[in-house]
Amino acid sequence: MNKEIIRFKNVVKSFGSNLVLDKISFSMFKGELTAIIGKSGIGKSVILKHIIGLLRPDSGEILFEGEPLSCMSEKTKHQLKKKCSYMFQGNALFDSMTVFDNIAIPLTEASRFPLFEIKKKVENIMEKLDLEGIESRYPAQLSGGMQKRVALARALITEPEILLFDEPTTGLDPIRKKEAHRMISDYKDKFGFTGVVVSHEIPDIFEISQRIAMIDNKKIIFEGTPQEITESVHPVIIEFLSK
Amino acid sequence: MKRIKNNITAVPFIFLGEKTLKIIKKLGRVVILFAKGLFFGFIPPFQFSKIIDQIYFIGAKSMLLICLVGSFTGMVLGLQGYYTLVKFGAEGMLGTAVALSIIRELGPVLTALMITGRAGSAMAAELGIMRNSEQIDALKTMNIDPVRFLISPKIIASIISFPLLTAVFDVIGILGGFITGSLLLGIDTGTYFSSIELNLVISDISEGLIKSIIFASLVTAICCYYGYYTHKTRAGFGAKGVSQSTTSAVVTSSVFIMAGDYVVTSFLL
Repeated sequence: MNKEIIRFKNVVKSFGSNLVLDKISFSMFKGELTAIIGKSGIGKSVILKHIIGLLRPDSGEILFEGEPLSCMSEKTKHQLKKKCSYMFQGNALFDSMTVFDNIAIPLTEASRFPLFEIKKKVENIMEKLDLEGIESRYPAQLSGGMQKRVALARALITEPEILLFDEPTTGLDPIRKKEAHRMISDYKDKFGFTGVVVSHEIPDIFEISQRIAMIDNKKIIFEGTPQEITESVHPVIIEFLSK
Repeated sequence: MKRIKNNITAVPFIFLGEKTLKIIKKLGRVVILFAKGLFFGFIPPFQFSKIIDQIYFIGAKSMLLICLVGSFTGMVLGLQGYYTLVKFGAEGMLGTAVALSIIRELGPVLTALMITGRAGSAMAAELGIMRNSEQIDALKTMNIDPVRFLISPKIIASIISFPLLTAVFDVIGILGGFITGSLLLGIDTGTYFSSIELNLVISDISEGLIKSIIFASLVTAICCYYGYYTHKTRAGFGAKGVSQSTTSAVVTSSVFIMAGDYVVTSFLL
């Protein structure tokens, strides 16, 4: 088994009186693609937002390579954030910027690379993701699939060690969905990142993931391999997988 | 606490206390957002290109509007001032009346109100849409401080643009007064301008410019606050949230401009 990289330990999160996560505990491992599955609106994206630091747990702990996030200095957190990238469900592309600027922004604003090097890196990633020729277009001028690829390019440009995908296939047709899954899997092999994917694309997501965590009723009810989940006799899992 | 809540006479005090705490919390957030934005403006790497973009948007693109409002304000003041002063045989003081009214009061106030309507609402809407479409969260995930990236250039650009636009408003307004007072109603051109030269002192001009800098800070802080915290408005997310935060930004800024004008005038007089 690979080295544990992220661990949720009894994490509780509520928004007002709405309890979303109730003492959830599970782990993600280096170099693996972990899929978080579950019904819509159950708190899958909330888990991802805790990893990237957009949300903080009410109680419990998130550990990065064994070190609690709450005990880290701001500088360490900053360094850690540099290792992570997040691909939003709605892409979160900057609509008043061109595709080139959207992809380049993590480097132009948060790194000290010279401009010519940034240009080279952007061109390189655009070529790898078949995005050539659309540098000067705006996100609104692109198809849904292209927007996804631009968002992926932006997430990959910093060569992250951990990449978080929030429902990367939402709004795509079945063919594009398969393509997106294959793309994530291929790029995971190519770039060697650790991936966490929030998805409800069952069973497609099992083909590209090494680990599955299923959330239901505010708790993690399953943690294991895709094979183990398909063999599970848990009634909620059986019902979820059969639909 | 439960006993107090059950006591019917305590209800208005509880309501008042909760409202007051809410307002204080809101004011605290506005001040922190503004202070952070201003602070980042003086910390390298400096964002010159973004500041210039914002000066173009807030300043240069507001020029026509300011010129129009300034000229008509000056023209109305010329007419009204003449009508009043002629009753006392003091129409020769029209230039002073127009210039002092514009430079000390109307210039900074009307300029701030006009920019609030044009650029302030745009700031709130832009930030609100960015908040709703998770663009602000995206910046955070990329280790980019959204206050530095989005708000700081707006604050610096406003502090530069407001006094300059106020100065333009003042000049155009005085010329507007000249058009009605001298060209239409027959006051001697020399009398009009020499009365301004004789009675206007540098502190009148500096008071107007100080006011414009204060209004720039108020307008940017309020408009950026409402946009940035769109998700915390009653309507919350979506188009309604953006529309509510934009309306609140313009209304609150306008009220604060008028209230601020009274406070600043009472201190500077």
